[in-house]
Amino acid sequence: MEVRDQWSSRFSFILAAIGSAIGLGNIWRFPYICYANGGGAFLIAWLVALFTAGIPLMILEFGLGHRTQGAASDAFYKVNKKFEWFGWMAILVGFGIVVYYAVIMSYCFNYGIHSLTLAWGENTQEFFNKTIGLTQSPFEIGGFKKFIFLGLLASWIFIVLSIWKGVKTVGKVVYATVFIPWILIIVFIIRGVTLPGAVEGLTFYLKPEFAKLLNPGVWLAAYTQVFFSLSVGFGIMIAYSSFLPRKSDIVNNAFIISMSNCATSFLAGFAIFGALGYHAHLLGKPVADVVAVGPELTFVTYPHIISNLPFWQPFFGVLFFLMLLTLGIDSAFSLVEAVAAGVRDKWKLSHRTTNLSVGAIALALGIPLTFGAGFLWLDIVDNFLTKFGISIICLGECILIGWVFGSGKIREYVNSLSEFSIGKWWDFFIRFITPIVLLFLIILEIKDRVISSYGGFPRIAEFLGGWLVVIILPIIGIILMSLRRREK
Amino acid sequence: MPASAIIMILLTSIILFGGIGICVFIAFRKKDKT
Repeated sequence: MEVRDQWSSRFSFILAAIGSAIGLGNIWRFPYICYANGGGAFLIAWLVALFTAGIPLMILEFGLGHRTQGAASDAFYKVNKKFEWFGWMAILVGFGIVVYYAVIMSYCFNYGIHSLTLAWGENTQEFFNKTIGLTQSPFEIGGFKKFIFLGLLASWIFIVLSIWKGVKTVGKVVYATVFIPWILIIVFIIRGVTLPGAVEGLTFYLKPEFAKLLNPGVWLAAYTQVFFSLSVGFGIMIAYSSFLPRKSDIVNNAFIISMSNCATSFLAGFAIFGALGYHAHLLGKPVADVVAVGPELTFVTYPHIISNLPFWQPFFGVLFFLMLLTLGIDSAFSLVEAVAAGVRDKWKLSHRTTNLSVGAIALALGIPLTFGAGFLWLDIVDNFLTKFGISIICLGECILIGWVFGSGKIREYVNSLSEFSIGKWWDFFIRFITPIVLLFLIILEIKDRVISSYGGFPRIAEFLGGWLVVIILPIIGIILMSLRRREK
Repeated sequence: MPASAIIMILLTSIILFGGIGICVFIAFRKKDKT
């Protein structure tokens, strides 16, 4: 009988899952979302969302993966043969994300090198546009950016090597890719909070506006943040838990991993808003005028802050982009491992064949994004895959496992293994609270997209990069399901 | 920094880091499980 790969230790598994959950979003998204939704008051909604939706979903994915000992596609196949396509869809959402995530890592790679000379100068926006060759429209393709391509190639080489022997290699690499960014976040917190103006920045980040808790939008933002930051809905956690030995804890691990991810987001806010406070102080503007989110924060605002640090600017520049790279790399290889595990489970291919094939296909799909319009397409695809892809998968998991398969079976299974038990409250969250919130999020997003196209992009670009991608995923899932399974 | 912000920082830290601490403590106590 074929022996399934196993984590070398429980600690390796926990680190790998934490590394997967912690990514660029913890740095460039959470602090902004917190500030924009009531500051300290948002933390209340966010913690409620964590305990009522995030952790229950994490337990569901761990329980499913561990019970079936299969990647997402195989896990749903074992639940019911008709559901296999859904598992593939989850894997494909993750695959779509890693295609452009590696391109963002390439930006970080390039910026890490530019940090040595502070090449961005004073006009950081212009430098960013020049570096990626940004065009005005998604249909204005622009030039091929060879350094972005080289960064992409380097990212993929690192990703494939990190999963070369599956979880055996992953279990070792994560010691570096989790601890290095944690150490660097602490370095940037110390650097950030000791700068002039930092207190104003931190006040801005965490001053609570409790009245905002009466606004349903704040609660939706809290649930959205939790769904998107825990790496649920891509099949990663299902695949990772399938490599745990039979006698392994589930519930306690889910709590440790989810809370560690959230603690990292919370701390990252100190590093970001401390620095933003300094930025506002330098420019003589209110913090509200300098706040940024996403790529704008990391590639436009932060480089400007780095250039104006009192000392060791190149050193902190390199460290900052190293932090982003190490934060991103384990999220990226966990997404690829989820795909590779699905392929291995179905067709019994070797690690080498699977990793090289998946890596080569993803690299090839990422090449168009290294052209000038790539960033614009990346933005559209990202919005649709995260807003619709993850929400639909998480909703489907709640329905298929909570209602069709029976959440009670998973609860009894995880309780038989775990260091502490979950009660029927877990069924309630999985069957009612989480799906209702997710359904609400999907309906709201559809409504927004009907009213106006995402980011003001032309409707045809939105259709090609967004709707079409979302529609095509279940179709590819059905095609993959229909292919002949190779038996052991 | 306003006192309300400091209270929120402390509260969040206690819930998250305290929660992690308790879970890790439980894991060490039941070390026989993988």
